[in-house]
Amino acid sequence: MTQATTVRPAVDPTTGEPLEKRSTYDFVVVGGGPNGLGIAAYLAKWGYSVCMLEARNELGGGAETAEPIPGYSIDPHAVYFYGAAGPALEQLDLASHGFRMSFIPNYGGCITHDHKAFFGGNTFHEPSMRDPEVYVELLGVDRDTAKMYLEFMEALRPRMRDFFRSIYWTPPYDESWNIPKSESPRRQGSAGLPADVRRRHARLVVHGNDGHALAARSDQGRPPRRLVGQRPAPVLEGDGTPRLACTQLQFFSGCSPVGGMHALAHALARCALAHGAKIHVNSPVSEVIVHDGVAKGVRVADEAALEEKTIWANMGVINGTHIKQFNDLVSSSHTTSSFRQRIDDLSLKGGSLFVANLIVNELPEYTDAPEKYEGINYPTGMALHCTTDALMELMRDVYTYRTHPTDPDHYISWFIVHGEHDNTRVRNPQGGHVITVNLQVPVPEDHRDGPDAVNKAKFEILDNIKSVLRHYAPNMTEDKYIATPINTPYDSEQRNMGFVGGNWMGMRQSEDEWWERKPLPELARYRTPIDNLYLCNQTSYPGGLCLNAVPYNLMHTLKEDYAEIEKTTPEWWYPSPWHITDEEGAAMSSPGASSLATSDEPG
Amino acid sequence: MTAIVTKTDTYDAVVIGGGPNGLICGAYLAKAGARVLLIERRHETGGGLNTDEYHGFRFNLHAIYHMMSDVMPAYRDLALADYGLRYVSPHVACAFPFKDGKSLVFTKDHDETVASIGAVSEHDADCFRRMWSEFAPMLDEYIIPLTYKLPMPVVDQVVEIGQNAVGERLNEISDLSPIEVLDEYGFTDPRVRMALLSFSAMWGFHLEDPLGYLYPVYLCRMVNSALVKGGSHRLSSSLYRVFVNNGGEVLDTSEVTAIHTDGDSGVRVEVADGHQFEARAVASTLNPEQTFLNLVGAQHLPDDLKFAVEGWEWEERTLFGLHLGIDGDVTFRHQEPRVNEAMIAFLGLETEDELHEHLARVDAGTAGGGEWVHVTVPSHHDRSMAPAGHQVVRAEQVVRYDDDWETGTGSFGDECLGLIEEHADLGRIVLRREYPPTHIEAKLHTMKRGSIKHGSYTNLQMGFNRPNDLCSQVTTPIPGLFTCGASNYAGGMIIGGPGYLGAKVVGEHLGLDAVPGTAPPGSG
Repeated sequence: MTQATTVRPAVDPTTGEPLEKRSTYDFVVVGGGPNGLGIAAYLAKWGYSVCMLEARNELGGGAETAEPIPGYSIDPHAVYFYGAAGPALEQLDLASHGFRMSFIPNYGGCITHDHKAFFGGNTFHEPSMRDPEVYVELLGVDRDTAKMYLEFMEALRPRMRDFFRSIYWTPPYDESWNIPKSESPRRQGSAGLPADVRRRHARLVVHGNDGHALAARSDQGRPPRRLVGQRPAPVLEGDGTPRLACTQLQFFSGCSPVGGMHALAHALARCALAHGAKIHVNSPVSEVIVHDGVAKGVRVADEAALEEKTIWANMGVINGTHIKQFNDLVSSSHTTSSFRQRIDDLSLKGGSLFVANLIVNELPEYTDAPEKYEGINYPTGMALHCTTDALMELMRDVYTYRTHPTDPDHYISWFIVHGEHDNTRVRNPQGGHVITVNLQVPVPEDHRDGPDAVNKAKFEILDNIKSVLRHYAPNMTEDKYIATPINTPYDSEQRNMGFVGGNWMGMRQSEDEWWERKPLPELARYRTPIDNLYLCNQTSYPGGLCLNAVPYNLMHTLKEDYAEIEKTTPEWWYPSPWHITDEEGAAMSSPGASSLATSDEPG
Repeated sequence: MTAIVTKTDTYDAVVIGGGPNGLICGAYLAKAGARVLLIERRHETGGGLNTDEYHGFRFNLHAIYHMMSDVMPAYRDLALADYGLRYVSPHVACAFPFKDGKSLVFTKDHDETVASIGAVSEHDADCFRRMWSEFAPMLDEYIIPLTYKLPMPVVDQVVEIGQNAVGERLNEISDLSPIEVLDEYGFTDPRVRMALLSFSAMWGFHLEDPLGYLYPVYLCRMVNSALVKGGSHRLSSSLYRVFVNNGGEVLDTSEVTAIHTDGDSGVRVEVADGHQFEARAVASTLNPEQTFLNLVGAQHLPDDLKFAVEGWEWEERTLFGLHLGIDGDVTFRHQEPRVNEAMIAFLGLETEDELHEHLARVDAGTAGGGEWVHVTVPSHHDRSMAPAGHQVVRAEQVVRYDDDWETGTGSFGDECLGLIEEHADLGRIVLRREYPPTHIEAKLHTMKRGSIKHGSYTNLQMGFNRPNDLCSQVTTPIPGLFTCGASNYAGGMIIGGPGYLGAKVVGEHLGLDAVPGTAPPGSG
């Protein structure tokens, strides 16, 4: 059919002649997800010419908002904005590009299987959240552990933003550097904590149910082993601090952008555009052009909506795609086979999410502890059937790749009642509410019943979610549902090629793919084996969650690599105070400096 | 909820509504140096330029065929191609497969089309050749240029146009209904007449009423029509990028709740959270009822304007859509291979009488979903519209808004699908969405009662009378308030006229030359 179809070329508006190819920029950004958009906005605002190329029809990647039934906005992927503590909101002035938040103090709630209700939020203002008995009762921990956890949280609260920034909004250091633990950014970020509190923190094993049913449990003095804080993440060794931070990030931000997650993409795109960036969608990139080990530009795929088949980058190419796509973008003649193999070997077993958006004509009326709702209405997050044991059952199911789950007793469902907090979500004249349900499921590739096991079971899973909801809110009968659009992990990947393998987190969030090892040790500072080619995707540290952290961190690296960027540092920029520069890191690695590395304090 | 933060509360211009006309108006003004704020109620701009993606299938739920694609001045003036806009223009525009194996095929090659008609009726092929030879210069010399000029009072226009033979003939044609046009050129074959009436009937027009110069437009431009690569929303997003690239500010997810006209220095626009923006010019692209009765308020309107606005008529016929995601291919089983290459296949009707009877049943509320439908397989022309190995199907038909869509949508869709399956082999249906007229209104409030053009095209609401004789020059009786949506001359259907004229007039008001004085565009 191609011969029968004409595609009209770009022409000059006045002469009608084909356009001169404006195909050279300072930077080319490949991929228009939240991280690609973020770096495009930073670089454009810094004063550089930027061309962004997105393969899909829409920008935003996982920061998507859809309207499957007219008048009801849903978020098929990312739901929460976790990035409130980061510098990008200020530095990119996103509010003036239309970004608004619906901050909710009453962030989370849960109802346990024995019908107890608890609520919490970013202020700990709810007395129940400060009562150790709650944790004793809810999670069966001993009183001392509960107290210790609360003490830790109380001490941390005033330092929360710095604590977050030292973890997320600070570039990881090179693991070959001999950085004493006491000098590590994350330790520095919590430096204000009393020493005994910090030591306890080091021993905490926090069992959180999606971050709202928090409890602490001492682990008989052994080093930290497990800390559960975030839904799609596995329970793995060595991720205690990020888990805790992640939980608290939710509390700190505790909200969604007004209008839906895509509003973040809109604001970032508008910031980039307002500073002159060129953005093309429907423009997949087939190859990064490398000459003598230096990235020079990109070749766009034949099907791209561009006449130019080559876009040149004077300064650099930023790869905003999943690290697994690196080997497709960079010809094998420019990398070693062992490098390519290690990328191929990266594990995708990070866990994934099943998302059901329940469009309902009535909100759930929970029969348990109804007085809890007085004055605070509905929290943004609501976990049902919530106990440590149930969570552990679910975790075990998910991380042994064996169920989706099918046993309703293993369901920890997470409800988000948007309509109560953001009245722009429902615009259909017949009214209603949008409730998002997230349920942790195995990554498709690893499911022992085959990759399409969850897809096949999706209506069964939906029925189970509905029955769990009805168990706690008997008014939620079938007639209350207007529509129930579902997004399985594979659906997510189909919409969004950044979710390789249907994995929401990009990769496994384990010790060997975390901190300065993410995605690989030599790639930790966002540099690649190709000069002028940088990484900017959730598969780089610190990962996804729409934090705007990867672009912010990457700017530190770019400043070190380009004298001109350093020289033109604008007033609005400030670096992470905990950033260890290449120079400092190298100095620490010198023989004389290594004697500093004496601290073996855990953490 | 945090408050709205914009760089300022005072703008040169505030544009209400981020559909095609609002974006065009805003983009021209911003490019000319004005400080412009565009306010959109939904989370996305684009209005009827809507492309929703579900599981890799891209559905154009509203606008799809772009009749004025490259002759629309914005295409060139704003260098939209440079912002990623690509039109895909199938050589075979429309096909009418018939049960006896014959067909009518309209392509971009006039001789091919004449030959196709000739295979059904030699006589009507001659008529078509004569009609087309008259219509083509009418479009180039008058209709297209006039679409992008402010309308004149009817009497003035008749005088202005009637200065050469082509214009005189256009004046004659403009007084005729579609049926009378076919009589005028002597068409006799019931199938040819059905096809030639379909180009107007598919948009809900009444075939017995004069259509002004729209009959030639809907025939000639439909044959020359295009799809937007990647979906119709790509047109709006390219406009959006021009707008923001030139300093325009967008406030989405914000419903305008009032237009205050009592200020000394300008008009103030209030949004849902109470925030107000003041501007030297406010350009509304909403329908007249929304702009004047709901937002300004009837009590603030002069009597003649109030009277005119209260008389605004919605469209009597609207559209029902059926959208399918197919695993496999879609193949029409007709012996004419070009049916499968066509942008639009019209299915279900064979003769003019059947068309009239069908439309009578539509108006009476007795038509079924399996009577008449036109089908497009966008992924046949643009692979990016569906995942590899899959197709996306868009079927649409004329319906009545007042039918029972609450309960009847599913069975109506079944009937529609049944008709398609009578003509085509479909792979496995993996996604199916009905889009009844109630959805049109629920998504885009300005299309009240499913009025995709914001209001009917009758003599009293067209030309100098659109939306009424007080507002058709873009200015309104209220100083500082302007209108330039689809309810303004020359109407909807993504022709980009009202927004272009809006920019011209608002630009003049602001002392800017927003619309460059280029030669009137031709059809090229």
